[in-house]
Amino acid sequence: MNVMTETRPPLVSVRGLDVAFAMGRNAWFTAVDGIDLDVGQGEAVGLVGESGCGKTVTALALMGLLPELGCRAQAGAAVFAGREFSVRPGYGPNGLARGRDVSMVFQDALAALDPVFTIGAQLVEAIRVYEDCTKDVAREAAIAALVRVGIPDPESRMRAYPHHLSGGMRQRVMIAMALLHKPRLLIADEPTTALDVTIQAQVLSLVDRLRRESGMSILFITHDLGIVGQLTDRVVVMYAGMIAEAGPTERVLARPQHPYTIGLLLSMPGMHGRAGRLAAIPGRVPSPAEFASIPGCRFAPRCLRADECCRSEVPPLSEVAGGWVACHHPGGGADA
Amino acid sequence: MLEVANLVKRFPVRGGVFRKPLAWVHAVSDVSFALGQRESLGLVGESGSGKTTIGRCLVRMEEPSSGKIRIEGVDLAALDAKALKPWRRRVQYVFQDPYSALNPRMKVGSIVGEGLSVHTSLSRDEIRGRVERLLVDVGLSEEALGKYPHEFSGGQRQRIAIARALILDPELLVLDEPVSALDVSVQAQILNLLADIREQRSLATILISHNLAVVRQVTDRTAVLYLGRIVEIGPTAGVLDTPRHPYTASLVASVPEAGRPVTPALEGEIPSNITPPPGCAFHPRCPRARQGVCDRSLPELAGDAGHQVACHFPLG
Repeated sequence: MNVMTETRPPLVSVRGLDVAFAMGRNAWFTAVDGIDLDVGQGEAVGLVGESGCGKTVTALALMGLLPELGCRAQAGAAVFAGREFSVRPGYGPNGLARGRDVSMVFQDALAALDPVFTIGAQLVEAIRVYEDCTKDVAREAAIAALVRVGIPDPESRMRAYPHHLSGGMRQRVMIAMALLHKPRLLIADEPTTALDVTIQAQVLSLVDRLRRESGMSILFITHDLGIVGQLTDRVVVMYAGMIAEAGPTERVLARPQHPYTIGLLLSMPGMHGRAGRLAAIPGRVPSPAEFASIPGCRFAPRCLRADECCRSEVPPLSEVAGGWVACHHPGGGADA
Repeated sequence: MLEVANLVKRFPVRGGVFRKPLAWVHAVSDVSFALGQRESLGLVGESGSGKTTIGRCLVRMEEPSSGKIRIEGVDLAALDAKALKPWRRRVQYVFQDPYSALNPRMKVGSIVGEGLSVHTSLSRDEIRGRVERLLVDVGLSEEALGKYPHEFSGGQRQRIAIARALILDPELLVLDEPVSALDVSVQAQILNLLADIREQRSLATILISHNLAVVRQVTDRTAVLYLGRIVEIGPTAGVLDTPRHPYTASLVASVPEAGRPVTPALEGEIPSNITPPPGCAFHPRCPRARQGVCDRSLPELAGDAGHQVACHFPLG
């Protein structure tokens, strides 16, 4: 199924990705259930969903960062720039050069950086993974990387430990580290949720600028549809381990087709005029352990359009309005 | 109903052998505002702006360093613990994180009913009846009474926390980021619940939030804080649609929205609360700052009674 219509050949293409985690003895729950994902050359794709929808797990599968123990993963096909790679759990080689092919920026920079080494030591180490150079040369390159992400006074920051820096600065350091080897795909997992709005705007514009300068592709994981609208070309909306809707960002936000996407947009309070009562989605987000107990469409228990068909049959992703929607009764999302 | 006058809260930074205060964190500096009955005020700002400290001072979880917190003319900041007790039931607090705010070893019935057993002489059955009714009011079922917090989702836990705050029929409810820990689709449910509560009960609310859209949805008036001071206060729509302080304007411009270019509205970061910049604390980041004025003198809140701004060169 060619879910993502793209004229250029995609940089990354994954078909039928399944990821399951162990829950007690011989019991598994499926966190990601057969999703297809493409990211084109130079494209920015938003991966949107609420907690437990599988967006981070999808990213970890691409990075080869799924834990070896208690995790199963497979894909029908996983291709990066024409060559196959593996989504198998375990941190060993997966066919992708981490840092060169794919890099990742994590949500919590304080947890992602090593607290006992200086920023400089960590950058120098990361540089020398691929580049056979002296520490002095690597040091110069590290300073240049900090300059590129707009860190003031980079030479003294090299000697700082992660806890010395503010949240925004730490996030910049992580971005600098992720971009050291000019990756072709940057995965950004909620890089700004822990930041204040004015700092968030700084970091987002930095990411956007670096992407335009380098022509890299971005997979931007977030729950904020405002960020998706600002930064991405295409959006993939996930719900309960499956893709609910995918398509060009502008179209999906203006005319969403899946009731979940419509509900998400309507439940967000707006910045222009008070909306009166918000159209909340009833119920709550199911946890991955509950996915299997929902027959049919996983959104059906919370969906106002759900009928018998929805409660018994899983809707396939089908082409609607220039995008892809997994719903038995799609459409109807006027400007939300 | 509530009047806060010249509220100041400083925290000592201690060090050395004798744990002497080496410096002071100026969390809240000279904050004054008033709140009418049934009115809802939003406190907006980034981390370090002092919004949570103000909320905590209102319920005396923090002792104000100086200033007055008056309800019906009585200064709560000056009361001792015993004299404060009857006032405690009139001001209640809802915390940000519904996971850590509820005691995991207590059943929901005891969590919500505890206030009644402390403040009233109602019998167990009467307390039980009231708790049951309130749980239904906040959108839970009566069976919730006998369950433990871990059996509930984040949104349901926040409903429990709201029920606990409402059981004593407070006149003022302080809500500290009540939806920021929740999933987007559940946030709307809680915001609607808060709107219902305001409609059904005679209750003033203070909403502490960094999310301008949430503040817009829930509040009548908004105070924008920067480094412990109110920089702008007025009707929510006025403050957010036609901000007069450059900081408010850049906060509004920083909210990510489709179709808006990603350009940062502000450079730099919030300065340290230990050594706030002289003059207007915002001047090092302010595009309108003028040397010799903004870095020297502290602007006072001024403007017509409704919409006030603390800026030497306000917008509009």
